[in-house]
Amino acid sequence: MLWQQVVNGLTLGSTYALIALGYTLIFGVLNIVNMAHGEIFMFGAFVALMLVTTFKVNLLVAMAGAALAGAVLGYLLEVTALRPLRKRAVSHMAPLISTIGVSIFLESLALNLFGAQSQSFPPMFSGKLLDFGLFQISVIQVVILAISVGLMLVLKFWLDRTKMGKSIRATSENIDTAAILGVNTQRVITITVMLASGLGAVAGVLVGLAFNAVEPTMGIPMGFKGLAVLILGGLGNITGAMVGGLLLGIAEVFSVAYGASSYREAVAFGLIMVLLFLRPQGLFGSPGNGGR
Amino acid sequence: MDSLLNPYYLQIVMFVMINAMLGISIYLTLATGQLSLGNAGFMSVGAYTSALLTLKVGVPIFLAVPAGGIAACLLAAVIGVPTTRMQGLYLAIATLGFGEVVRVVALNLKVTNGALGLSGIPSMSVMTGKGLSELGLGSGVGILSAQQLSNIIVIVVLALMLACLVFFALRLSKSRMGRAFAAIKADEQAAEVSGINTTYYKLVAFFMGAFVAGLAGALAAHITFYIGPQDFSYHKAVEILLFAVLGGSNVVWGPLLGSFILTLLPEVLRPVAEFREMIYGAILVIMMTFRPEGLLKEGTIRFLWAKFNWRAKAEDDNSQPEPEGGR
Amino acid sequence: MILALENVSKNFGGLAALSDISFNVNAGEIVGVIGPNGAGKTTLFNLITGVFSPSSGTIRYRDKAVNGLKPHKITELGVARTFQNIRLFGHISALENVMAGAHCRIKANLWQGLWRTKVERKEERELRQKAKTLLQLVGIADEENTLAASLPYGKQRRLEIARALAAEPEVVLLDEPAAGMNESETEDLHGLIKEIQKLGKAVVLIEHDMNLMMNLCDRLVVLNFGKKISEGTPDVVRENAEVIEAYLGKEEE
Ligand SMILES: Nc1ncnc2c1ncn2[C@@H]1O[C@H](COP(=O)(O)OP(=O)(O)OP(=O)(O)O)[C@@H](O)[C@H]1O
Ligand SMILES: [Mg+2]
Repeated sequence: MLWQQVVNGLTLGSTYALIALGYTLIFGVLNIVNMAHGEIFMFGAFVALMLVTTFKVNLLVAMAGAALAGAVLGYLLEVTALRPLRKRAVSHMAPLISTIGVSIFLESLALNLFGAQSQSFPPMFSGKLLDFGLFQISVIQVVILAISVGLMLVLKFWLDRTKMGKSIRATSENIDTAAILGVNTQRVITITVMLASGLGAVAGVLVGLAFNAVEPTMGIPMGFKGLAVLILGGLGNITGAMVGGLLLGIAEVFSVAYGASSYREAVAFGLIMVLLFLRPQGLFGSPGNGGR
Repeated sequence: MDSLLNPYYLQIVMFVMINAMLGISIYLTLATGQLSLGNAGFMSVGAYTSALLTLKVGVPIFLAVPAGGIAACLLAAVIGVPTTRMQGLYLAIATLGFGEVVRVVALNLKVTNGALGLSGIPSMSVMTGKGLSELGLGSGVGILSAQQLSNIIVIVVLALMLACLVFFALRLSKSRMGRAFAAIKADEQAAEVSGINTTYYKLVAFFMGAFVAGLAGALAAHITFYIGPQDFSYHKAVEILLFAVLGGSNVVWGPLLGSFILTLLPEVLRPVAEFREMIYGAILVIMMTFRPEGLLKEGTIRFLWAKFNWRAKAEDDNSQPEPEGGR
Repeated sequence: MILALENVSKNFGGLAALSDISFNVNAGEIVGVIGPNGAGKTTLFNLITGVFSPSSGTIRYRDKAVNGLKPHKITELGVARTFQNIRLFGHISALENVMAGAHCRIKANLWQGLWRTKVERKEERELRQKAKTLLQLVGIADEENTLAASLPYGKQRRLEIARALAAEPEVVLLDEPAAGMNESETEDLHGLIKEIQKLGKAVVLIEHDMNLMMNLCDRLVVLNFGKKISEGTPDVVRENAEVIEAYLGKEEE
C-alpha cells in the first residue's frame, strides 16, 4: 500500500516536475513568472490528442508534435507579450500581467477550438498492470515516468555540457555579464522560452495520459501546481524544481489516500503558503539588498 | 421608458456598481504598490458569509452585508501579517493561491453546499418590494411598477454606498495616510527611512482592500439569488485585475473607469460573447505593451482638471492654496 | 555627543564590510566620511538608519541604543538620510515628497483626514508652509508642483535633502550629495550644508570631492576596506601617512 502510493506519487510528481521546469527555466533567464505556461501545457495535450486520434500517429510522434507546437507558442509568447515589455523598462509586475492576459486568451481560444467537454486518448496499452510484488505499475505509468525522467536527464546534460546550455546558465546568473561575455542574450531568451514551452507541452501530454482527460480548463490548476513547485524548489533553481515536483506529487497522492481527497487541489498552495509564511522571500531568496 | 427600465438593464447597472466597488478594492491595495490577486477570494468570503447569515440564521440583509465585509477583513488579518511581508512576485502568487484555497474550501464544505453553490439567497430588490407593499405601494407608483421601483431603490442604495467608497478613497489619497501609501508605492525602503511605518500601512491597505471586496461580494450575493465557487475563480481575480490595468491604478478614477468599461463591454460584445475572454486577454497584453499605467494617470487627471475647473484656474493665477486636482 | 558608534561591525556572508568602527558625532558638527570605493561608507549609513542591523557593536543616539530598531523609528528619533542613488517618490510632486518626509512629525489619523477636521486642516496648512520653506532653503521653491521624477538631476539631489530635513532630524546623513554636480552646483551645495549646520543640526557627509570635504568638515573619519584608518580634523588627516597611501595619495597624483 505504502509503496504503491509512493510509485503513484512519483509518477504524478514527475509530470509536475516537468511543468515546474518550464517555469524555472524562464524565471532563471528572465526573472519573470510566465503565467501562460499552464495554457501552453494544455495546448500541448490537445495537439497530441489530435495527432493520435485524427492522424493515427503513434504516441512518441504525437509527443514530438506537441513539443513542436509548444515551442511555436512559446515563440509567439516571447514576441508578443514579453519582448515588447523588455524594450520599455516597465515595472516588474508588467510581464506577470501580460502573461496572465495570454493565459486567458489561450484558454478561451481552446474552448472555442476544441469545445468545453473533456476528451481522452484512445486506450493504448490496454491498462495492463505490471506486478512487482511491493507495488503494481501500469504501462502508462512506466511511459510517463520514463519520458519525464528521461527528458529531465537530457535537459540537465544539455544545460551542463552544450554551448547553448552554458549560455543559458550564464544568462541566468547575470544577464548583463553574459552579454558582456559575448552571449547573444536575445537569442538565449527566445530559445529558453521555446524550450520551456516545448517541455510544458510534453508535460501536458503526460498529464493528459495520466488522468486520461484533456480539457481546455486543465491549464489553470496544473499551472498553479507548477507555480507552487517553482516556489517550493526555489525560483530559478532547476534541481529544486525537479525535487519539488516529486514532493508535491507524493504529498498529493498521500492526501488523497488518507482521506482528504477533495482538498487535493489545495494541497499545493497549502504547502507554499505555509512555506512563504515561514520565509517570505522564498526558500532560496535573499532578504533584499539594502539602501544605496 | 419601460424598455429602459427592464429588469435586465437594471441588473446590469447594479453590476456596474458592484464591479466599481471591486475596482476600488484593488485600487486600495495597489495604492501601496502591493499586487494582491486575492480579491476574488475575499469577495467569495463576503458573499458566502452574508448569504449564509441570511439563509441559515435569518439575519437581515442590511446587517449581513457589512458582516460579509468584516469576515473578509478577519481572514485578511490571518493571512495579512505574513503576506504583506512578501516581496512583489511572491505576494501576487501567494494571494492567487489564497483565492484558490478559498475556492476549494467552498467547493468541499457542507455548509456552502459544495459545487452546487447556494441558491435562493434573499434578494435586495425582492426585500425592498415586500417593504413597499407593506407601505401600500404594492401596485407601484405612477408609471413605475413595484418591481421597477424596488430595483431603482436598490440601485440608489448601491450608488450611495459606491459614492461613500469613492469619497473615502479620494479623501484618503489626499490625506497624510495617502501620502504614506504613495511613498511606499514609489519606493518602499526610501519611505521607511523617511519615517513611514511601511509594514503598518501595507497591512492597513490590505485590510481595506479585503473589506471592500468582501462588501462587494456580499452585495453581489443579494443581487443574484445564487452564488457558487466558480463565481470567484481565477477568472474573477483576473477580471478585477483588469479593472485596474485598463483604467489605471494611480488614481481612484482609473479602476472605476476600468470596471465601467469592462462591465458594459460584454453587453456590447454580446454577438461575439464566446470571444470575451480572448478580448480580455488581448487587452491585458496590449495595455502592458503600450500604456502600462492604464488609461487614466495623474497627468491625465491634472490636465482634465486644469481644463474644466475654473476654480483651480483662478487659484493657480493668484497662487492661493493648491488646486485639489491632484491624485 | 548625539550619535555614537561603538565597535560596530557588519559582515555580508564572508565579507567584512565594516569592522570595529567607533566614532562620535557631536551636536551641530559636520563630520565627513571618506574612503575609496567599497570602503563601507554607505554600509555605515545603512547601519545607522536601521536598514541593516550591525553584526556586532552598538549604535547610540542620545545615549539610547538604536540597533535593532526599525528605520522609521530611528528617523522618528531624529536621524534622517539621503541616498547615494537618488530615491525620490517619483510620481508625486516635489512638495508632496517633502510633506511625505514629514510624516512622522504630524499626527492626523485616517478619520481626521476623511472629515478634514479643523485640526487636520490646520496641520496640513502648516505642513505645506513648512514644506515650502524647506524647498526654498534648498533652492527649488519654484518647482513645488513638478513631479519629482521629472526634475533635473541636481534638483533631485536637493529635493532629497529637503525631504530628509522635513523629518526634523538632529543628525542628517548625506550620501554623496555632490555626485554628478558641476563645480558651481557643488559650490551651492557647500553653502546649503553650512545652512543646515546653522539650523543646529549635525551633518554626516560622504563625499569623494576632497576639496569640499577639507573645507567643509569639522572632522573627518577615514575608512579603508571596512576599517577606520584615521580620524581627526582635516589638517590632521591630511598629514596621516596611512591616509595618504590609501586614499589621498592616489587622488593628488
Ligand atoms: N547588501 C549587501 N550585500 C552584500 N554585500 C554588500 C551589501 N552592501 C554592500 N556590500 C559590500 O560591502 C562593501 C562596502 O560597500 P559600500 O556600499 O558600503 O561602499 P561605499 O564605501 O559606499 O562605496 P562607494 O564609494 O562606491 O559608494 C562592498 O564590498 C559591497 O560590495
Ligand atoms: Mg556608497
